[in-house]
Amino acid sequence: MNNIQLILTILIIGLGTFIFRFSFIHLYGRMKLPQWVHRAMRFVPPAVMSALIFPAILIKDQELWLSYENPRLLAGMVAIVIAWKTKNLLLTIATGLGIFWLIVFV
Amino acid sequence: MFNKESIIRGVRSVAPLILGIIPFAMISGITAANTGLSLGMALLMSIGIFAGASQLAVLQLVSDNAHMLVIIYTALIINLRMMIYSLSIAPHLQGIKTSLKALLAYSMTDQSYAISTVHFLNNPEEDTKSFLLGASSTLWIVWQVNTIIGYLMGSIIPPELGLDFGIPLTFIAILFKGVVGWPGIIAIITSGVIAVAGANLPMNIGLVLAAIIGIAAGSISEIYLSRGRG
Repeated sequence: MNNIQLILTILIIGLGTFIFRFSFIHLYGRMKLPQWVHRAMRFVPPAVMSALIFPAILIKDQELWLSYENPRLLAGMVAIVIAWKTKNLLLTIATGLGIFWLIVFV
Repeated sequence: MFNKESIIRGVRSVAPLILGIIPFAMISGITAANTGLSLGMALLMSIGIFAGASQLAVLQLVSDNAHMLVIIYTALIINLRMMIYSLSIAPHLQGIKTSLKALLAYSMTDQSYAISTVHFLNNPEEDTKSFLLGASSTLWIVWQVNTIIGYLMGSIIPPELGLDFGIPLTFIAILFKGVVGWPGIIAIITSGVIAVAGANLPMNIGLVLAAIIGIAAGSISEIYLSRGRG
């Protein structure tokens, strides 16, 4: 891929991603959303976060790695418990990274 | 027109997440350097797209010599979730100028979106545009600065540091922030199971499927549970 193609690729992805982000923020006033959409919207953050988290800690090289030897799984599960019990963002991330590096380097 | 205290609250709300975002931004810079991009091109990407997961997918595909259309398609599928964010946050961002809506839309990330919508639901009096601007611009600056640092220090940082683990950790940190009771837990479990089961589906469609079915499971279980109670 040459530089012109790469610039074009980046610009098209950037524009498309912007349209996704802008779409409903822009259109909202012009349409009436049914009640079920309002209900569903409250479940967007937990559902999408979960869909991003679990493949990241369970899948390696396109395979399920369900083992106590998987440092991401161990550190991730501890972080999930801390997040649930304390709701403390910094404590969750710091402990998660700490345990991960402890397993990888010790 | 902006409320200073609201901006500061927005900045403070995402500040703890910076610890997880710095390593990921550095990964993004390192990978851009290793893929052979110039610093200018790396910045064009991090400013023009400003969505980390899709940027890393683009770099991977560029180094695999994938076709341009495949790269565009893959990146856009990964970012399709932003459309759900847009719908979800839209009610909170009305009555402001279109140019400001565009700025807030452009700079919205997974983290600033999730933190802000939950905050708005709990604090209906908040000046939403100021809060979101504070949250998003903080993460924007952290992202760009650390992309450059990563690009420049690239070769010094060993890959086994696993710096990319920072991002799932930021998602874990905010996972329970907006959870609405058992239906929220059901949404999390359903979505997580489908995302893992569908991780190898072509073109990253598993993520989109998992999110939609997880949201549906949360909604349906909420209706069912409230009926059982009432």
